[in-house]
Amino acid sequence: MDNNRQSKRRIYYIREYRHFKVSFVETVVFMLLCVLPVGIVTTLFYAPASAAACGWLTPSLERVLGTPIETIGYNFIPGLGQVSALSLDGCLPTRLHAVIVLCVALLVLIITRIVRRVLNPVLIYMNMALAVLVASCIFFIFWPEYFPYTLSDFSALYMIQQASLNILLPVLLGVALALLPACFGLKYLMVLACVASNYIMMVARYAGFLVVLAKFSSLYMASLYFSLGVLFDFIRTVMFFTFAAKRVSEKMQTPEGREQWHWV
Amino acid sequence: MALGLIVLILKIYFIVLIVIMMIYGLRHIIFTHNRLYMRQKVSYRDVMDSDLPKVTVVIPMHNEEAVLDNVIESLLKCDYDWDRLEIIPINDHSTDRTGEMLRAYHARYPFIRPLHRYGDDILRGKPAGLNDAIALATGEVIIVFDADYRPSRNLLKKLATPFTDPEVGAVMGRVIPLNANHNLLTCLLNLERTGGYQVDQQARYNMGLVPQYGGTVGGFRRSVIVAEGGFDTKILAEDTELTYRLYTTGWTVVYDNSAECYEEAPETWAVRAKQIRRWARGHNEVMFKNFFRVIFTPYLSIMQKVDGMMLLLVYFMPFLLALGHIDCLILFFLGEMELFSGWFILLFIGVYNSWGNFAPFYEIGAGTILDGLTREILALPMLCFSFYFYMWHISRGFLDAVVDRVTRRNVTWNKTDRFAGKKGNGAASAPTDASAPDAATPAAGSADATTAGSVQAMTAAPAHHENGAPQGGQEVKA
Repeated sequence: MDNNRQSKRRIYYIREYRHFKVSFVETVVFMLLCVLPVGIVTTLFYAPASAAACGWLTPSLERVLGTPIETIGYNFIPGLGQVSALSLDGCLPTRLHAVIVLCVALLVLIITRIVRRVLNPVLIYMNMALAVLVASCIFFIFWPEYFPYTLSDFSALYMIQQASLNILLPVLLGVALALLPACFGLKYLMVLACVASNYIMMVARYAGFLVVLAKFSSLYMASLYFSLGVLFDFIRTVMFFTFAAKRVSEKMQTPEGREQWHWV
Repeated sequence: MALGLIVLILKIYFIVLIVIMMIYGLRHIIFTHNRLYMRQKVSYRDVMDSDLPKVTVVIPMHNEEAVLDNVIESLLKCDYDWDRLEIIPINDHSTDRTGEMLRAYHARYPFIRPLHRYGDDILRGKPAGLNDAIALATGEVIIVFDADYRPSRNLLKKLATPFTDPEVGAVMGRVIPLNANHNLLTCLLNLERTGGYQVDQQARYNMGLVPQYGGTVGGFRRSVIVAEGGFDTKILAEDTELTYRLYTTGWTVVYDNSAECYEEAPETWAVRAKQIRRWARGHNEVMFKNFFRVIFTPYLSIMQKVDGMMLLLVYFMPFLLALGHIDCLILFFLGEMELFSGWFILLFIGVYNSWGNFAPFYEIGAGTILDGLTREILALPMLCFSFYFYMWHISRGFLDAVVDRVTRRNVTWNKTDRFAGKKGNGAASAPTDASAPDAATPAAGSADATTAGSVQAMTAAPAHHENGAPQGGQEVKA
């Protein structure tokens, strides 16, 4: 009987109008101790980070590609150093190569539409990537001499993009996490994990892109840049947020967590 | 020179788009923070029963023999006095047993007064059907449900109570997908609606902005729509159109987060594509009609006007974003990407932050925490891909609306496919007590809840006129 009385002692708030008590102090502390420092550090250290990435990759890529590779600096944020990028020779596609790829891409697009009249999101994304490839093929068929990027130019473009991503994405995640009623440690861990994963993916993808473009031609440059870049970094960022939100939601169902709800 | 000008225009467009996306992103951060931490505005609760208005429940139906028992029986079990209740199911050119079943209900319950619409010259479509029903209705308040809904016992009271405030023109409840765990699509829709209703709508109501009437699980004041000449039959999104009509003529729209009703979300991408394209078309038709009305109306505050305009543009932004992607591609092939390679990230970040999938990921995350969902949120990263799906189909809907406007063509309604009837398990089932805390129940709501309930729409194919007056109910003839 006593257990029944105890269990009825508290009526837990239902979802309609429950909320949390705001703690501006906690939010400000998190922004000042995590988000701001991470933003500053990633901004100040993009130059050595990119230089380190280039240093790690150069021996491996030289072995795989069999061509000398050097590191060149490019201006990014004035006064904060240069973004390092690898400079290497690429190859332009022949017209025949471009025509063949164009035909294959168009065939895949047509087959996809025939097989599935309405595409799901993943197929739409793939179709858009193929559309970019089609545009690239057309460009190389009719105006190959006007293609504006060498492989070294693309390399620089990619590293500048990654430098921006490595600064912005952790800050974005931090701002999103600041909204959640989660503990400081969890939020901090997620932001650091985001920073670490950004750098790991930056290096891995950079290597992959350069190998593909050096071995198979610049025809795939636009597709790689637009289709295999930002979206997947974003998905990774959202995954970190999702993990944190799930932990918060689970915690708020526990007896201790339920104490944190407020009504109306 | 010309090329330089083109490049300049492309770059300016790029920058302007990023700024707009940032503004939307900030808006949703504010909404999320408000819903998570600020004082919540509760819908009207403390009005006595004797003050409640007479209600007419309108249910558009087209070949709904499989599900109509569920919605009618649920309404009969509602705790609303029958002498203040009228139910008008609109039998719109049905070819199955819908008409016969409704006549049987009328014979047993006189306050169920079916409206049978047949005839080649009878205009089809939900707005036209609603206009006919409103002309016959005797209730002060019109509440609209879709045929596959199952309202809970206290839902009518919750929706009717705010109308005791003479300034209230419409009330909107919360739509929750019953089939949230059916497949990945329904799970993603559940997440979108969690962010949309639990966070977005409630925050807008808290802040005195412009919560939206979504066309179902909601009601409106009959006298308002009659004075305005009825619904515009040329607009697919009659609910959005009503929302703005109310706001620009001094009325208030109330959102009640506790007035929950379950619906069946689309279970295939094909159905979802048709639905979202129709919503986009209708919403943009409303945008063309109301954009300047919102700006110049004396009845809205500055913040309400800003929110109202941002809401109006929500189905236009994906088209601008699609152009933004093409813009980036052109800049890339012109060799102008270097300066913007970092800013391209901002575009994407802004895109997903602000618009994404009707609610940014942090808004959805907040909604799942408030609803006590723990497993469903794991699908959140998959919404990143949905962005491209929505961008494609909403852009097509926008272009449909542009063509509608330019050519003044008549819209064609197509009924959204339903799955409950096919599975033979009846319509969406409401919980016995909509107020019961239930962490495991999927919660949902359409975000910017445009035509959230416009599941029911009528085919525009001509039909034969039905001879003979039905036993009970009304008939609209050519």
